Amino acid sequence: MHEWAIANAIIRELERSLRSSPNIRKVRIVLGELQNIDEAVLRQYLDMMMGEVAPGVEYEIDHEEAVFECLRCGHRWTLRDVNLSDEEREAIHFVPEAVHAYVKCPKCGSRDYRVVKGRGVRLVYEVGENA
Amino acid sequence: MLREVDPRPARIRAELSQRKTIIVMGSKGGVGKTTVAAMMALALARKGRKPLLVDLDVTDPNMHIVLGLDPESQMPGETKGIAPLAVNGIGFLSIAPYTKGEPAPLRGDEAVNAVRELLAATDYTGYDTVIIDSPPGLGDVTMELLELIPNPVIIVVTTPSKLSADSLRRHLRLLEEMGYNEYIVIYNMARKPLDSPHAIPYDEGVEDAYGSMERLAVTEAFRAVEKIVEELIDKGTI
Ligand SMILES: Nc1ncnc2c1ncn2[C@@H]1O[C@H](COP(=O)(O)OP(=O)(O)OP(=O)(O)O)[C@@H](O)[C@H]1O
Ligand SMILES: [Mg+2]
Ligand SMILES: [Zn+2]
Repeated sequence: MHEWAIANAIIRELERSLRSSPNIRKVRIVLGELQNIDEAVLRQYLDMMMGEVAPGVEYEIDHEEAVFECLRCGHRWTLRDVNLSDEEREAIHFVPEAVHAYVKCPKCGSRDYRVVKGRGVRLVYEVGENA
Repeated sequence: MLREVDPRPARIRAELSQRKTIIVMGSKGGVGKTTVAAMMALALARKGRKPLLVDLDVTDPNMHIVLGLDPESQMPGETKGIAPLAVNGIGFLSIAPYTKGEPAPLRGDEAVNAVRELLAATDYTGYDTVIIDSPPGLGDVTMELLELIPNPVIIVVTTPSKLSADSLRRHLRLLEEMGYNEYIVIYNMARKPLDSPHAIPYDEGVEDAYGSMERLAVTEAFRAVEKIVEELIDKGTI
Protein backbone atom coordinates (compact mmCIF):
# COMPACT_ATOMS: atom_id res chain seq x y z
CA MET A 1 0.00 0.00 0.00
CA HIS A 2 1.01 3.59 -0.66
CA GLU A 3 0.20 4.31 3.01
CA TRP A 4 3.28 2.22 3.82
CA ALA A 5 5.52 4.85 2.18
CA ILE A 6 3.73 7.61 4.09
CA ALA A 7 4.19 5.78 7.39
CA ASN A 8 7.82 5.20 6.46
CA ALA A 9 8.31 8.94 5.77
CA ILE A 10 6.82 9.76 9.19
CA ILE A 11 9.15 7.26 10.85
CA ARG A 12 12.23 8.53 9.01
CA GLU A 13 11.35 12.10 9.98
CA LEU A 14 10.74 11.16 13.62
CA GLU A 15 14.07 9.37 13.69
CA ARG A 16 15.78 12.47 12.30
CA SER A 17 14.12 14.89 14.70
CA LEU A 18 14.75 12.67 17.71
CA ARG A 19 18.47 12.95 17.04
CA SER A 20 18.40 16.72 17.59
CA SER A 21 15.47 16.84 20.07
CA PRO A 22 15.57 13.62 22.10
CA ASN A 23 12.84 14.95 24.38
CA ILE A 24 10.05 14.81 21.80
CA ARG A 25 7.20 13.04 23.60
CA LYS A 26 4.31 13.47 21.33
CA VAL A 27 3.70 13.92 17.65
CA ARG A 28 0.46 15.06 16.11
CA ILE A 29 -0.06 13.75 12.59
CA VAL A 30 -2.36 16.00 10.61
CA LEU A 31 -4.02 14.32 7.63
CA GLY A 32 -5.38 16.65 4.97
CA GLU A 33 -8.76 15.69 3.59
CA LEU A 34 -7.58 16.13 0.00
CA GLN A 35 -5.11 13.24 0.13
CA ASN A 36 -7.71 10.92 1.68
CA ILE A 37 -5.28 8.69 3.53
CA ASP A 38 -6.64 5.49 5.02
CA GLU A 39 -6.21 6.21 8.72
CA ALA A 40 -6.68 2.61 9.86
CA VAL A 41 -4.01 1.34 7.47
CA LEU A 42 -1.65 4.16 8.40
CA ARG A 43 -2.12 3.37 12.11
CA GLN A 44 -1.41 -0.28 11.46
CA TYR A 45 1.95 0.53 9.80
CA LEU A 46 2.86 3.16 12.39
CA ASP A 47 2.15 0.75 15.24
CA MET A 48 4.41 -1.78 13.54
CA MET A 49 7.30 0.66 13.03
CA MET A 50 7.15 3.20 15.89
CA GLY A 51 8.24 1.03 18.81
CA GLU A 52 11.68 0.37 17.40
CA VAL A 53 12.58 3.87 16.25
CA ALA A 54 10.71 6.06 18.68
CA PRO A 55 9.87 4.11 21.83
CA GLY A 56 7.91 6.21 24.29
CA VAL A 57 6.73 8.69 21.67
CA GLU A 58 2.97 8.90 21.41
CA TYR A 59 1.15 9.90 18.29
CA GLU A 60 -2.32 11.20 17.61
CA ILE A 61 -4.02 11.68 14.30
CA ASP A 62 -6.06 14.74 13.38
CA HIS A 63 -7.96 15.55 10.24
CA GLU A 64 -8.06 18.86 8.42
CA GLU A 65 -10.75 19.90 5.97
CA ALA A 66 -9.52 20.80 2.47
CA VAL A 67 -10.17 24.42 1.48
CA PHE A 68 -9.45 25.90 -1.94
CA GLU A 69 -9.08 29.55 -2.93
CA CYS A 70 -9.31 30.80 -6.49
CA LEU A 71 -6.37 32.94 -7.56
CA ARG A 72 -8.54 34.59 -10.26
CA CYS A 73 -11.74 35.56 -8.44
CA GLY A 74 -10.94 34.89 -4.77
CA HIS A 75 -13.81 32.42 -4.27
CA ARG A 76 -13.30 29.80 -1.54
CA TRP A 77 -14.73 26.29 -1.61
CA THR A 78 -14.39 22.78 -0.18
CA LEU A 79 -14.59 19.22 -1.53
CA ARG A 80 -18.31 19.21 -0.74
CA ASP A 81 -18.83 21.72 -3.54
CA VAL A 82 -17.36 19.49 -6.26
CA ASN A 83 -17.99 16.08 -7.82
CA LEU A 84 -15.15 13.64 -8.28
CA SER A 85 -15.27 10.11 -9.67
CA ASP A 86 -13.61 7.27 -7.74
CA GLU A 87 -10.82 7.21 -10.28
CA GLU A 88 -10.18 10.94 -9.90
CA ARG A 89 -10.28 10.62 -6.12
CA GLU A 90 -7.69 7.83 -6.38
CA ALA A 91 -5.36 9.95 -8.57
CA ILE A 92 -5.59 12.81 -6.06
CA HIS A 93 -4.85 10.36 -3.24
CA PHE A 94 -1.48 9.62 -4.85
CA VAL A 95 -0.60 13.17 -5.90
CA PRO A 96 -2.92 15.79 -4.37
CA GLU A 97 -1.83 18.38 -6.97
CA ALA A 98 -3.63 16.26 -9.58
CA VAL A 99 -6.75 18.02 -8.25
CA HIS A 100 -6.01 20.80 -10.75
CA ALA A 101 -6.68 18.31 -13.55
CA TYR A 102 -10.23 17.59 -12.36
CA VAL A 103 -11.51 20.52 -10.31
CA LYS A 104 -12.14 24.06 -11.50
CA CYS A 105 -13.23 27.06 -9.44
CA PRO A 106 -17.02 26.56 -9.00
CA LYS A 107 -17.56 30.28 -9.50
CA CYS A 108 -15.34 31.29 -12.44
CA GLY A 109 -14.08 28.00 -13.89
CA SER A 110 -10.39 28.68 -13.26
CA ARG A 111 -7.83 25.95 -12.65
CA ASP A 112 -5.54 28.56 -11.12
CA TYR A 113 -6.30 28.21 -7.43
CA ARG A 114 -4.46 27.22 -4.31
CA VAL A 115 -5.06 24.65 -1.62
CA VAL A 116 -5.34 26.82 1.48
CA LYS A 117 -5.31 23.87 3.88
CA GLY A 118 -6.03 20.19 4.19
CA ARG A 119 -3.66 19.06 1.43
CA GLY A 120 -1.54 16.21 2.76
CA VAL A 121 0.40 14.99 5.78
CA ARG A 122 2.26 17.13 8.25
CA LEU A 123 3.71 16.51 11.67
CA VAL A 124 3.44 18.75 14.68
CA TYR A 125 5.91 17.99 17.44
CA GLU A 126 5.37 18.89 21.01
CA VAL A 127 8.90 19.45 22.26
CA GLY A 128 9.42 19.43 26.03
CA GLU A 129 9.96 22.71 27.94
CA ASN A 130 13.70 22.24 28.30
CA ALA A 131 14.25 21.57 24.61
CA MET B 1 6.65 24.36 22.16
CA LEU B 2 5.18 23.24 18.81
CA ARG B 3 7.16 22.55 15.66
CA GLU B 4 5.65 21.70 12.27
CA VAL B 5 7.49 19.43 9.87
CA ASP B 6 6.92 17.90 6.44
CA PRO B 7 7.85 14.21 6.80
CA ARG B 8 8.59 13.62 3.10
CA PRO B 9 12.16 14.98 2.73
CA ALA B 10 13.43 12.58 5.40
CA ARG B 11 12.27 9.54 3.41
CA ILE B 12 13.42 10.98 0.08
CA ARG B 13 16.93 11.60 1.44
CA ALA B 14 17.08 8.20 3.13
CA GLU B 15 16.15 6.39 -0.10
CA LEU B 16 18.20 8.50 -2.52
CA SER B 17 21.35 8.48 -0.40
CA GLN B 18 21.52 4.71 -1.01
CA ARG B 19 21.46 5.23 -4.79
CA LYS B 20 23.13 7.27 -7.49
CA THR B 21 20.82 10.11 -8.40
CA ILE B 22 21.28 12.00 -11.66
CA ILE B 23 19.48 15.32 -12.19
CA VAL B 24 19.15 16.23 -15.86
CA MET B 25 18.66 19.98 -16.01
CA GLY B 26 19.16 22.87 -18.39
CA SER B 27 18.67 26.60 -18.47
CA LYS B 28 16.61 26.61 -21.64
CA GLY B 29 13.49 24.84 -22.82
CA GLY B 30 13.56 22.40 -25.71
CA VAL B 31 17.29 21.67 -25.62
CA GLY B 32 16.78 17.92 -25.20
CA LYS B 33 16.70 17.30 -21.43
CA THR B 34 13.90 14.75 -21.68
CA THR B 35 15.51 13.01 -24.64
CA VAL B 36 18.92 12.83 -22.98
CA ALA B 37 17.43 11.62 -19.66
CA ALA B 38 15.58 8.81 -21.47
CA MET B 39 18.67 7.83 -23.44
CA MET B 40 20.79 7.77 -20.29
CA ALA B 41 18.27 5.47 -18.61
CA LEU B 42 18.25 3.21 -21.65
CA ALA B 43 22.05 3.13 -21.81
CA LEU B 44 22.22 2.23 -18.11
CA ALA B 45 19.62 -0.52 -18.50
CA ARG B 46 21.61 -1.99 -21.37
CA LYS B 47 24.67 -2.08 -19.10
CA GLY B 48 22.75 -4.18 -16.61
CA ARG B 49 21.93 -1.36 -14.21
CA LYS B 50 18.46 -0.87 -12.73
CA PRO B 51 17.51 2.72 -13.61
CA LEU B 52 14.42 4.53 -12.38
CA LEU B 53 13.49 7.41 -14.67
CA VAL B 54 11.44 10.15 -12.99
CA ASP B 55 9.66 12.88 -14.93
CA LEU B 56 9.53 15.88 -12.60
CA ASP B 57 8.49 18.39 -15.22
CA VAL B 58 5.25 18.32 -13.24
CA THR B 59 3.22 20.87 -15.20
CA ASP B 60 4.36 19.61 -18.58
CA PRO B 61 5.15 15.92 -18.31
CA ASN B 62 5.99 14.22 -21.61
CA MET B 63 8.57 11.53 -20.89
CA HIS B 64 5.84 8.89 -21.28
CA ILE B 65 5.67 9.79 -24.99
CA VAL B 66 9.38 9.11 -25.40
CA LEU B 67 8.88 5.76 -23.66
CA GLY B 68 5.72 4.88 -25.59
CA LEU B 69 3.46 4.64 -22.54
CA ASP B 70 -0.16 5.68 -22.43
CA PRO B 71 -0.96 7.41 -19.12
CA GLU B 72 -4.69 6.99 -19.79
CA SER B 73 -4.52 3.23 -19.50
CA GLN B 74 -1.26 2.37 -17.73
CA MET B 75 -1.33 3.04 -14.00
CA PRO B 76 1.56 2.34 -11.63
CA GLY B 77 0.99 -0.45 -9.13
CA GLU B 78 0.95 -0.19 -5.35
CA THR B 79 3.43 -2.06 -3.19
CA LYS B 80 5.40 -0.46 -0.37
CA GLY B 81 4.61 2.81 -2.09
CA ILE B 82 3.97 3.54 -5.74
CA ALA B 83 5.44 0.74 -7.87
CA PRO B 84 6.94 2.37 -10.98
CA LEU B 85 5.85 1.23 -14.44
CA ALA B 86 8.52 -0.69 -16.34
CA VAL B 87 9.66 -0.37 -19.97
CA ASN B 88 12.68 -2.16 -21.42
CA GLY B 89 14.32 -2.56 -18.02
CA ILE B 90 13.64 1.05 -17.04
CA GLY B 91 11.37 1.94 -14.12
CA PHE B 92 9.24 5.00 -14.77
CA LEU B 93 7.51 7.49 -12.55
CA SER B 94 5.53 10.58 -13.56
CA ILE B 95 2.58 12.74 -12.58
CA ALA B 96 1.04 11.98 -16.01
CA PRO B 97 -0.93 8.86 -14.97
CA TYR B 98 -2.58 11.01 -12.30
CA THR B 99 -3.41 14.07 -14.41
CA LYS B 100 -4.48 12.12 -17.50
CA GLY B 101 -3.35 14.67 -20.05
CA GLU B 102 -5.42 17.49 -18.49
CA PRO B 103 -3.78 20.86 -17.86
CA ALA B 104 -2.81 21.10 -14.20
CA PRO B 105 -1.25 24.50 -13.49
CA LEU B 106 0.82 24.60 -10.32
CA ARG B 107 2.18 27.71 -8.66
CA GLY B 108 5.59 27.49 -6.99
CA ASP B 109 4.89 25.67 -3.74
CA GLU B 110 2.37 23.33 -5.33
CA ALA B 111 4.94 22.28 -7.95
CA VAL B 112 7.36 21.64 -5.09
CA ASN B 113 4.68 19.65 -3.26
CA ALA B 114 4.05 17.47 -6.31
CA VAL B 115 7.79 16.80 -6.64
CA ARG B 116 8.08 15.84 -2.97
CA GLU B 117 5.01 13.64 -3.17
CA LEU B 118 6.23 11.65 -6.16
CA LEU B 119 9.70 11.18 -4.69
CA ALA B 120 8.42 10.31 -1.21
CA ALA B 121 5.65 7.92 -2.25
CA THR B 122 7.80 5.68 -4.45
CA ASP B 123 8.87 2.13 -3.76
CA TYR B 124 12.54 2.26 -4.82
CA THR B 125 13.19 -1.43 -4.20
CA GLY B 126 15.35 -2.92 -6.93
CA TYR B 127 16.50 0.36 -8.49
CA ASP B 128 20.16 1.36 -8.20
CA THR B 129 20.16 4.61 -10.18
CA VAL B 130 17.57 7.38 -10.28
CA ILE B 131 17.49 9.70 -13.29
CA ILE B 132 15.41 12.83 -12.88
CA ASP B 133 14.15 14.89 -15.80
CA SER B 134 13.42 18.44 -14.72
CA PRO B 135 11.72 21.53 -16.13
CA PRO B 136 13.87 24.21 -17.80
CA GLY B 137 15.49 27.06 -15.92
CA LEU B 138 16.38 27.91 -12.38
CA GLY B 139 12.86 27.75 -11.01
CA ASP B 140 11.27 26.22 -7.94
CA VAL B 141 11.55 22.58 -9.01
CA THR B 142 15.25 22.77 -9.89
CA MET B 143 16.06 24.56 -6.64
CA GLU B 144 14.00 22.04 -4.68
CA LEU B 145 15.80 19.09 -6.31
CA LEU B 146 19.18 20.55 -5.43
CA GLU B 147 18.04 20.99 -1.84
CA LEU B 148 16.44 17.56 -1.50
CA ILE B 149 18.92 15.27 -3.19
CA PRO B 150 22.11 14.26 -1.41
CA ASN B 151 25.20 14.40 -3.68
CA PRO B 152 23.44 14.52 -7.04
CA VAL B 153 25.21 13.88 -10.31
CA ILE B 154 24.32 17.00 -12.31
CA ILE B 155 23.91 16.84 -16.07
CA VAL B 156 23.35 20.22 -17.73
CA VAL B 157 21.94 19.93 -21.24
CA THR B 158 22.40 22.83 -23.64
CA THR B 159 22.72 23.46 -27.38
CA PRO B 160 25.63 24.99 -29.29
CA SER B 161 23.91 28.36 -29.81
CA LYS B 162 24.95 31.86 -28.70
CA LEU B 163 21.72 32.34 -26.78
CA SER B 164 22.13 29.01 -25.01
CA ALA B 165 25.72 29.92 -24.14
CA ASP B 166 24.56 32.99 -22.24
CA SER B 167 21.94 31.02 -20.28
CA LEU B 168 24.45 28.26 -19.64
CA ARG B 169 26.95 30.73 -18.18
CA ARG B 170 24.39 31.95 -15.62
CA HIS B 171 23.25 28.43 -14.86
CA LEU B 172 26.77 27.14 -14.20
CA ARG B 173 27.66 30.22 -12.18
CA LEU B 174 24.74 29.53 -9.87
CA LEU B 175 25.65 25.85 -9.53
CA GLU B 176 29.22 26.80 -8.61
CA GLU B 177 28.05 29.37 -6.10
CA MET B 178 25.98 26.63 -4.51
CA GLY B 179 29.04 24.40 -4.26
CA TYR B 180 28.36 22.09 -7.20
CA ASN B 181 31.57 22.06 -9.23
CA GLU B 182 31.40 18.61 -10.76
CA TYR B 183 28.55 19.03 -13.24
CA ILE B 184 28.70 17.57 -16.75
CA VAL B 185 27.65 19.78 -19.66
CA ILE B 186 26.12 18.02 -22.67
CA TYR B 187 25.90 19.90 -25.96
CA ASN B 188 22.88 18.46 -27.72
CA MET B 189 21.77 18.86 -31.33
CA ALA B 190 25.27 19.70 -32.55
CA ARG B 191 25.16 20.29 -36.31
CA LYS B 192 28.93 20.28 -36.74
CA PRO B 193 31.77 18.68 -34.77
CA LEU B 194 32.47 20.43 -31.46
CA ASP B 195 35.59 20.25 -29.37
CA SER B 196 33.61 18.98 -26.37
CA PRO B 197 33.74 15.25 -25.55
CA HIS B 198 30.10 15.60 -24.55
CA ALA B 199 28.45 16.51 -27.81
CA ILE B 200 25.38 14.76 -29.19
CA PRO B 201 24.77 15.20 -32.90
CA TYR B 202 21.60 16.63 -34.35
CA ASP B 203 19.86 13.48 -35.54
CA GLU B 204 16.73 13.45 -37.71
CA GLY B 205 15.99 9.94 -36.50
CA VAL B 206 15.30 11.02 -32.90
CA GLU B 207 11.87 12.47 -33.56
CA ASP B 208 10.72 9.29 -35.35
CA ALA B 209 12.14 7.08 -32.61
CA TYR B 210 10.01 8.54 -29.78
CA GLY B 211 7.69 5.87 -28.48
CA SER B 212 10.05 2.97 -29.06
CA MET B 213 13.16 2.22 -27.04
CA GLU B 214 14.28 -0.20 -29.76
CA ARG B 215 14.23 2.57 -32.38
CA LEU B 216 15.83 5.09 -30.02
CA ALA B 217 18.67 2.64 -29.33
CA VAL B 218 19.79 2.63 -32.97
CA THR B 219 20.00 6.41 -33.41
CA GLU B 220 23.31 8.19 -33.73
CA ALA B 221 22.27 10.46 -30.86
CA PHE B 222 21.81 7.44 -28.58
CA ARG B 223 25.27 6.11 -29.41
CA ALA B 224 26.73 9.47 -28.34
CA VAL B 225 24.80 9.35 -25.05
CA GLU B 226 25.87 5.76 -24.50
CA LYS B 227 29.53 6.78 -24.83
CA ILE B 228 29.05 9.52 -22.23
CA VAL B 229 27.35 7.04 -19.89
CA GLU B 230 30.22 4.57 -20.36
CA GLU B 231 32.73 7.29 -19.52
CA LEU B 232 30.77 8.23 -16.37
CA ILE B 233 30.57 4.61 -15.28
CA ASP B 234 34.30 4.12 -15.86
CA LYS B 235 35.09 7.19 -13.77
CA GLY B 236 32.78 5.96 -11.03
CA THR B 237 30.60 9.08 -11.35
CA ILE B 238 27.45 7.02 -11.81
N1 LIG C 1 19.90 14.97 -30.70
C1 LIG C 1 18.79 15.42 -31.29
N2 LIG C 1 18.70 15.46 -32.64
C2 LIG C 1 17.59 15.97 -33.24
N3 LIG C 1 16.52 16.43 -32.57
C3 LIG C 1 16.56 16.41 -31.23
C4 LIG C 1 17.68 15.89 -30.52
N4 LIG C 1 17.41 16.01 -29.18
C5 LIG C 1 16.20 16.56 -29.08
N5 LIG C 1 15.68 16.81 -30.32
C6 LIG C 1 14.39 17.48 -30.64
O1 LIG C 1 14.20 18.54 -29.75
C7 LIG C 1 12.89 18.53 -29.23
C8 LIG C 1 12.92 18.88 -27.75
O2 LIG C 1 13.51 17.79 -27.04
P1 LIG C 1 13.16 17.50 -25.53
O3 LIG C 1 11.70 17.49 -25.34
O4 LIG C 1 13.95 16.33 -25.12
O5 LIG C 1 13.75 18.83 -24.87
P2 LIG C 1 13.54 19.36 -23.37
O6 LIG C 1 14.75 20.14 -23.04
O7 LIG C 1 13.18 18.23 -22.48
O8 LIG C 1 12.28 20.31 -23.54
P3 LIG C 1 11.43 21.02 -22.36
O9 LIG C 1 12.25 22.18 -21.92
O10 LIG C 1 10.17 21.42 -23.03
O11 LIG C 1 11.26 20.00 -21.29
C9 LIG C 1 12.33 17.16 -29.50
O12 LIG C 1 11.01 17.24 -29.94
C10 LIG C 1 13.22 16.57 -30.57
O13 LIG C 1 12.57 16.60 -31.81
MG1 LIG D 1 11.52 18.07 -21.17
ZN1 LIG E 1 -12.59 31.66 -9.48
